[in-house]
Amino acid sequence: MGKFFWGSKFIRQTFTLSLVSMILASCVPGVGKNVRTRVAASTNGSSVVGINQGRVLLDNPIILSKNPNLSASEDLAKYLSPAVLITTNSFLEGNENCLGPLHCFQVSEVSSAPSALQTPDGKWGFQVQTEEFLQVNTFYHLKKLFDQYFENLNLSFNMFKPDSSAVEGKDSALPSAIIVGDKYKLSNSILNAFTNCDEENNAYYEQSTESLCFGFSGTNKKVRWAHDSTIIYHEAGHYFQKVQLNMRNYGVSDELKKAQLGNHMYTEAGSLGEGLADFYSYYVNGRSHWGEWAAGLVKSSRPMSESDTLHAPGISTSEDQRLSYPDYLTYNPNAASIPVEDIHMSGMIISHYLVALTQDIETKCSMTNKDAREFVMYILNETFAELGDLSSVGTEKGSAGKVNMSSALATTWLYKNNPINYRSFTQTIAKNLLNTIGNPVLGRCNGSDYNQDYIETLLDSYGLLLFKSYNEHRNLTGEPVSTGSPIKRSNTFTKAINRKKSVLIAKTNIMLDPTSGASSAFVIDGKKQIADRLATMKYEGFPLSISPEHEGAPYNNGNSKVSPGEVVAIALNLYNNSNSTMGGIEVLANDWDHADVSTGAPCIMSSASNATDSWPQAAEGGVSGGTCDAISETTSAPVCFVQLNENNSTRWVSQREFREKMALDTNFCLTKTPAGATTNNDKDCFMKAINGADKATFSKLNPKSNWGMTMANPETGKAYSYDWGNVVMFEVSKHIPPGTVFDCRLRVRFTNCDDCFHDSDPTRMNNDYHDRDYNGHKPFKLIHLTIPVTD
Amino acid sequence: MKKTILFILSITVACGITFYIKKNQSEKFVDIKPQWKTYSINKEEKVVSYNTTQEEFQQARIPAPPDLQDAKKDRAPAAINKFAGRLIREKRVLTGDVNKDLEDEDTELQMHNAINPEWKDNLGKNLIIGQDENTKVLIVEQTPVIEVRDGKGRYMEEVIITFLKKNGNRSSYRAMVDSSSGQILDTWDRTINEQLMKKRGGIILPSNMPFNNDSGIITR
Ligand SMILES: [Zn+2]
Repeated sequence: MGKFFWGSKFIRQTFTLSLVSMILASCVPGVGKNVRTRVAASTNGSSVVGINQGRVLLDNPIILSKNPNLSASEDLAKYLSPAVLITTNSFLEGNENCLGPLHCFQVSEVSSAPSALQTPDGKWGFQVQTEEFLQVNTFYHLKKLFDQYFENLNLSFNMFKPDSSAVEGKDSALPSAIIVGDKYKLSNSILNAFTNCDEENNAYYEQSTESLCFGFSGTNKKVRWAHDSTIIYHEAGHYFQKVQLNMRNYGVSDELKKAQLGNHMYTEAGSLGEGLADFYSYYVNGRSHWGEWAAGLVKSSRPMSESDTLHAPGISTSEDQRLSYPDYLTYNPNAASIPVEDIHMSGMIISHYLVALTQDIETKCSMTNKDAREFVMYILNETFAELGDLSSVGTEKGSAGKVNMSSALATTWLYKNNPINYRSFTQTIAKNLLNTIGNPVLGRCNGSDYNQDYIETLLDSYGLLLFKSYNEHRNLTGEPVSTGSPIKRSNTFTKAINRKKSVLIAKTNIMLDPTSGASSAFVIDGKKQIADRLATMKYEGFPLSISPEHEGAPYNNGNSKVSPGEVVAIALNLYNNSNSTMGGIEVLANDWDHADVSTGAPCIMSSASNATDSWPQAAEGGVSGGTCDAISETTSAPVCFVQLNENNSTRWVSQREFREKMALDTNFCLTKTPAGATTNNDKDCFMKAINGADKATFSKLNPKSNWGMTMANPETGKAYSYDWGNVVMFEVSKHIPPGTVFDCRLRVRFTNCDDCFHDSDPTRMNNDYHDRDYNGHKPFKLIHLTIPVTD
Repeated sequence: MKKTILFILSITVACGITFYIKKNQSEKFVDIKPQWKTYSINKEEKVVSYNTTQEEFQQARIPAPPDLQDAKKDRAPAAINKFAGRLIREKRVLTGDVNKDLEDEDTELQMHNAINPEWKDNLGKNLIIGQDENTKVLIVEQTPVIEVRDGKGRYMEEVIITFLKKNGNRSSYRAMVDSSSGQILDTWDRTINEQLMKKRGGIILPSNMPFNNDSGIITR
């Protein structure tokens, strides 16, 4: 087999499907009781369509009209397709590949509708301005995507995935366990799509109840998002990402929790999620622009290729003019001069890369564009299935602890210690390319291979060749290939010569703004502002745990200082001291392994233990040796230590020791110890990073710039203010004597960092750090906040 | 005669097996009684709760539970046994470091916590505190759980939480909740919004950047 075509099989299946459709089409479905019916009207009514048919908008109105300036009040009936098959069902219920439900999705106008829309007469012809039309149009496009995706899953398992028995050492994340007969175990519920949602400039995917909701554009409620097929693909794309990311959690492990890309704030995982959702539109229609109609009318449509005319000058498909990481993280093609921190905008880097990858495979492997799109979707199936595995096994031949640390700690690693970012995502994509189309033995690229140089050159043109190894074995790297074998699992390395555009920056270059007179951090402690934020965190679903006496931030005084009893947000004034742009900066304030387990005393992170702050000196309470020498994933201490003054000396001690010296009852600690507990919950008795707000993220920092300079509007010289994703929050005990000083040892890293991911220890040879190491100091720059608590 | 004895014997064995299987199945049943409940704060600033109304389902865009969908009753999809293949103890799903032995309730399992019948109300109160007047929190049970780590178990409840604001805004997610305190331990399945033209810079600072800082924070 030269080209890896599945042509004959596909044609056979299509023919069979068509035949079945034709036979089914001859049966008129019955109309039940208690359902809404409406007589279809003329231009797209019963009279112009056959049984099971309707007319739809095959693409969005801008594309169909070929008029980029199409008026919002245009009569869309002009752009309807000829009659097409909608469904042979009598309700808008589609795709039967999901195990469990009778169908995978259904469409209705609103959530309170008693059922999916039912045909009044066996036909689906409705006037374009009716609510029924929107439902039929949405159904048609959802069905198209669902059918294509499940056909792809079939190909993924049977055609694309390397046969691990035939190809030594090649592994797949796709779990055979999800296949049950001709169905896939991917979700427990039917996806509901509601086409009439009162949402301005919005559509959403509500994962908890598995529903999509489509709103309208601007203030003109006539411009409906369900009229734009690319929007439908994007929203459903979020649903399929959940499917992909949780393939192993539904199918293999007993996980109830589900993995998700990012949260409500700016994160690279969220950015990847948005870019990939756009790619779903390209996946279906092969067109590299999203949302021309519904989003374009409010100047928010998005390109997926550098050849797009919407792009600013200087962007093109030539290698040195790609939409590259990290420079274009804050680029908005609709207002190119004003930087913006938004996952939809930064996500364009990955959508552009994926479209370029598709086109590169199409060219180099003499494939059709459609075949290349299917192959790239397979690579995404593999990539997400591995990265989202909460049982930590990762691949079919993997074992516990291969990814995401361990099943007990997987979500902490996935959302805090080592989340999916541009580096880990593209590294996994590259690995999956190398294992399949990149493997010359398989001959899947027109009889040859899409080789390592191709993979690395394209990634590099996007500034994304940020990894030195393909990390095939992840945490199992260096372990015997099988029990007792002398052969160790080793990874393929990237070629340094291919790294022309991608820049790796040493972590020492991230620091607090060294400019004379510049602030290092800013305290936000206004009562209303903090109280509102705490309420919003509950609303948005951050797992907030705050002591009851701090609800509503009653002790906050708004003096921009840290005072006893307050809940405070702290924004670090971070600075990039290098000559290259940094991307994906993360600040961690969650507990980590930096204290002696028995005494709680701060470990000295000295150069001997390959790190960075040499704090505190032994005379000031620092300890070394013992549990300080090795990193454990299960032991962790709060970020903040306290200065204890006694016997004419000062020491940095744990909050527990400080409490004991103060003889304060544990009932007065921020975390209460439950009655009957054998150990006290007093390790963060006085100063506690708030779960759900113990991590801050910044999209990027320009060379020799802080975030304010990076995000400044060139016309005004000012940036918009910080968002809540840019700060970490602490709860401060009201029992702290004023004058007490805390030292909070925060950990900071960024995505294009050289020594935040590559372990340069001679025994590790620039392989990636193990997940366990992310509970320690090595992959991070340590930044101290010394906080005096004042009244 | 021989034949009769054999017949009676085989009937007895068959019945015995059936009874045994039935007993086993009933023990392995997950006891889940989902009931949407609404929490809000009344004029006297007291937390009130009641069964979620049809109007609230509509506002929150929650597909109403089957008993409120009379019209759909006759064509509801076949029940999905989402617990098929799972290990079950005390009519709860076992997760974490689990093995088949734990299904036998005679196998000892030390617990970190006990089930407090008030856990849901505690959760509702915790979530509604601090919210604007007229905000509603809707909560429904999903899966009762025992999570086992390092040989010890913890009772937990998987729930769906949906917030409904007066202006129509809503937000929804799943959470794992401690069955004793009602504390949220973890959340997932948060809603993904597109929200074009979103306003940015949610934090109001007393002065604009570059910051004038007299917070007293010093750094190393
Ligand atoms: Zn999206």
